[in-house]
Formats: sequence, structure tokens, C-alpha cells
Amino acid sequence: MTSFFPDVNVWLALSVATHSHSSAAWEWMRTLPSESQLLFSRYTQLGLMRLLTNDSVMGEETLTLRRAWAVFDRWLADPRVALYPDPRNVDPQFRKATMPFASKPASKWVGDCWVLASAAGNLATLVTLDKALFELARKQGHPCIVPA
Amino acid sequence: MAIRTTVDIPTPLHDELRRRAESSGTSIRSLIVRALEESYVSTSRREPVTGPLIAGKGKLGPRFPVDETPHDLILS
Repeated sequence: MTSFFPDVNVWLALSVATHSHSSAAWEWMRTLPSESQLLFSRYTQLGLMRLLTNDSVMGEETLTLRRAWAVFDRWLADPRVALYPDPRNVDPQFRKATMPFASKPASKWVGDCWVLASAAGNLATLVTLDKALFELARKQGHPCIVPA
Repeated sequence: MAIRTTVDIPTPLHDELRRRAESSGTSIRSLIVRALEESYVSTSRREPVTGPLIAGKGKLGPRFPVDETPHDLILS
């Protein structure tokens, strides 16, 4: 069984029809073997819910928290989707992921590196729409794909 | 209530279970119970998502992402 770890923006693209990458994300999703597994972590769960309920993100489609829960629950009702706890070995992975930015005030990368570490700790292929994150994962020897 | 049972598991599969349990901070028992539930209990109740769950055509906000996850909006 192959496990995939979509980053928050991939979950958003799969959830929101008008996301510019929604079609690409769904084309990728539909090619997955039936035994594939898509993993949520606590960070990607709360990230998706934070974005879905933020009006500066969702504009006229902003969800109430109740509806955001319904979206998350619907994902969990998909037999391919599971919420995994943070891996026990995630801290060393996180430190490794952030090493290239050790001398920089790289706040954006903190979140991306956590996502990469979570994918690595869960032995899952990272799925991202962010080419820079894809390159970081590739340089660190972690499997990563960009739905296109 | 739980029932204790004994099952012979092939060594390679057990090794894989142990590896996954260690990496995900859970137990072999939890992985086995979840796999059994997914295979024999929950399947009839669980339906794949087949398309976007938010299909409205309303105008999205100025911070709606394109390629990059806006971590600043998640962590703020």
C-alpha cells in the first residue's frame, strides 16, 4: 500500500472546485490505485479548517466552523483517507528539513519543513503544488510529487 | 470489551507493522484493529469522495493560495 501526504494547499485544491489546481489535483487523485492511502496530520487538518473558515482566503465561499468540520468529516469518511498522529521520530526529521535555512529568517519554510518532516516520518510520499517545496524534498531524498 | 486472540503473522509483515508502528507513534495492535475495521466493518459506511466538496462559484478572497500553502494564515 502506498501512502501519500498531501500538504494543506493540496487538500484545499481537492476541496474547493474553484482552486486553480483543483482539476490537476483531482486528475491525480483519480489515477491512484484503490489501495492508496491519503494521510491527514493534525497540522494539515487544522490548516485546512483554518483556511476554509478565513474570509480573506475563501471570500464569498467562507465556511462556518460547522461546515468546515463537515468537510473534514467527509474526507475522513473516504476509505482512502486517515488522520495519523504526529510520528514519534518527527523532530529529527524536522531539524533535518530546516537545516538549509539555518542562517535565514525563513518563517515560511518552518511550515513547509514541518509538512515535509511529517511526510517523511509517516513514510509517505509528499504531495504538493509548491515547486520550491518539491525541490527541497527532492534534495533531501524524500519522495514527492506535484499533481499536474 | 475486548477479546484476546492469537494469530500467526508472517515475519516480513510483522516487521513492516513494527516499523510503521514505531514511525507513527502508535502500536501494532492499533494498526491491526484499524486495518480490520477498514476491511470488514466500516467499508459499507465509507464512500470515496468523488469531487470537490465546495462547488460554489463565489468570488474567493485575496489570500486564496495558488501554489504555496499560506502557513502564516495557519499559524497566526
